Amino acid sequence: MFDETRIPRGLYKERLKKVKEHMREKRLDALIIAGQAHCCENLTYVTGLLLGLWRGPGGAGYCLITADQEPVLLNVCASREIPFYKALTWVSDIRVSPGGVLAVANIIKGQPSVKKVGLVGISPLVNSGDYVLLKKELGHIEFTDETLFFENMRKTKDEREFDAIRLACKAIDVECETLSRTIEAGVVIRKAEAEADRIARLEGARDVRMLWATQEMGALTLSSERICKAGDIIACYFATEVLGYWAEAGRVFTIGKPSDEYMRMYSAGLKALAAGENAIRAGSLAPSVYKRMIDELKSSGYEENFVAEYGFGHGIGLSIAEKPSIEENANVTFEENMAISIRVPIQKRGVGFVLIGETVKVLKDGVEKLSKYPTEITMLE
Amino acid sequence: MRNVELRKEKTQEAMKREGIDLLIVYSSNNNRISGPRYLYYLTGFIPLGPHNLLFLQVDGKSELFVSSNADAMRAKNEAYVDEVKVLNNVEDVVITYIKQCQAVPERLALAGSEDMEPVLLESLQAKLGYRFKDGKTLFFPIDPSEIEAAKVCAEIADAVFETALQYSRPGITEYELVAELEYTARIKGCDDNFTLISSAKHNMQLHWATDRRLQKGDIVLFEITPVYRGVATQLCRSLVLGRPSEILQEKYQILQKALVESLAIIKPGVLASEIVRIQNRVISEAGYAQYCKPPYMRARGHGLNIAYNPIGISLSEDSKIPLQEGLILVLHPNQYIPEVGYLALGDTIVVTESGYEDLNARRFPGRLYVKGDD
Repeated sequence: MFDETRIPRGLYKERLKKVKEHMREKRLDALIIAGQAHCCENLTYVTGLLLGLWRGPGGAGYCLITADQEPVLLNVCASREIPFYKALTWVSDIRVSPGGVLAVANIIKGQPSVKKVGLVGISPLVNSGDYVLLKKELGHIEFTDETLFFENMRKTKDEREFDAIRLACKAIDVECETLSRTIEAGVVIRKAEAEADRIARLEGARDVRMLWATQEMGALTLSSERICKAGDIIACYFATEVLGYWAEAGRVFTIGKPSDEYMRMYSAGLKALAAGENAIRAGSLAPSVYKRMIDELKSSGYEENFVAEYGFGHGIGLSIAEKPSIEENANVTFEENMAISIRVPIQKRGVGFVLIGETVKVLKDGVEKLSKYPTEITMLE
Repeated sequence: MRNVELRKEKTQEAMKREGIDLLIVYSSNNNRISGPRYLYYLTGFIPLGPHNLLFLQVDGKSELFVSSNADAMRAKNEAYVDEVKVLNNVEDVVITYIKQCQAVPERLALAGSEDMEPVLLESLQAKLGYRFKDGKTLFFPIDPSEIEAAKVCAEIADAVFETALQYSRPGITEYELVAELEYTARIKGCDDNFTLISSAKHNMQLHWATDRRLQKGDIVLFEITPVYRGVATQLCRSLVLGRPSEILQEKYQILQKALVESLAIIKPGVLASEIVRIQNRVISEAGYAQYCKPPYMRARGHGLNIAYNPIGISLSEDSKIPLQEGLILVLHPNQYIPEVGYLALGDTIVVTESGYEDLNARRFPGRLYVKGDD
């Protein structure tokens, strides 16, 4: 039985209705949504199904939507697993056929009226090689890329989605609380990570990711056998996934008081974060938020130390990184009910790494912070 | 880093032996446990960006191209290469480098083409006007450090199963149990870990942890796959919470027989497909021939070496590949049996000069585990 307490069937059906309206507008006879493990957000959005480790015999799993029929899930599992998968999706028609994407092609071939087909999720299609097969089997079909429509549909979230994002933020909060108790001189970073990871999973996180940067490092990296020592400045990036939805954050833990220069840099980071959060609201433009943040860093003298590769943030939800991005040239307007991961990464050789970030909900006139753990430095003995 | 240095030297020797002047290694950021992970093998670096290229010349000069400045900063600290740069376009970098080296097609090889988007590979080869030689043979013979890492990794898997035995009890949810398993894996030093689990009176498959609470009488299946220094090992076991029925014990013995008989033939030269044929024969002779194929069974194991990995993700009756010393593989006659459900049993082995070494047989030998049967 599909668990409706999380996101009810009715909400999925509303999403499907929007998809079919779009199909009518674009005169699409069918729509193929592709997904792979860790790259299935569009398929999940319509069906509720998270593709875990199973990618389907051809490399990707599919949802096929036609104008007047119920959606079909194809090759998302093996046939003996269908009863288990039926509990994970509201879609009742789950089929397994040999040949991967060829099964999708065969269904379409069997419907001569189908002339124009939309594709969603080009990346899993291409990565798995299925795109080439599909084009070969359905040479008579006109294909269009409808991924952008789905990305736009997913930009704003409903309350059920925010419930899941709040749970993901809570998992990060408890990770931070755990680290505040476990980080000390003599502790191996890998051990500290293991404790935090465990606590996040006990909170229900299915996927937990952490990256670290200590003062001698120029970039965030995976955990290691490095032993914490007095004077360490440890910047930590967190990402957790609960019920398919992601949250991110960045926090700094120090063993002892950092240098005055680092404190000035951190203060600049906090001000830049606040400037960004104050600038974001329904109707604000991504470039103007970027400008407020970079101007704040400029006025503090740390513009050159901004780590542009990590950026100031982006949308977040079923994907860990979604539109909009907080970028200088992004032609995007913030909308109410977007979920945004906002952050300030600053690095200065000889001083240290600053990473302060959190996940927020965009409101009509501001943001709601979804993380509870304080953004100030956690200074430990 | 010494291991990586030795691996690079061995690869250079192989390049000289096979007349290759330039080896190009492509890596996405997939880092699949079934590999191959040539870039990691030769540099010790795990890329986080989507496209990465390593150019290794036969004289040892190496240049790494990564997707972002952030990865470049990391690579400068972590990668065993002469130079690190950021790439904008894979095709442009490859074509330019080949031109600068004046490398000729006959003396040029590519490793990692299976990781490339097919469209990218086709386009690159079309622009060059030739197809790359396959570089995978340059990674043989297998480096002894992989075997050492596999042994440590298998010990980690054993420790994780020990935690599974300790924490499994009626009332705990699958995800709470997996939290403890993940913790053990990380504390013991693994780079990464994934755990599949299933708990039910009658399991249909292994899956990721759910919020189902374990109950008395459940058969709890574990597939534990840690990664250590880039090498993965896999341990598959079944645990009963309570007294196992006679029929369950009888059926589990089919899996044990399949594993023991398939292990017995392992030595260099034997075809990998024979392992599967024997497992399928044992299970078929017990009356379950129709269950020895999809949808009831996917693969009887996986190749686990970092770079030279001719078996790859799927050990099956199509794996007509002779076993070689140093190959690391998991053999798992996991099987759906209609009377009792899906059962799990699997060990990681290393092929030795004259046979094999089972890395998981010592602490938790392959049998049905029972807890709380009093």
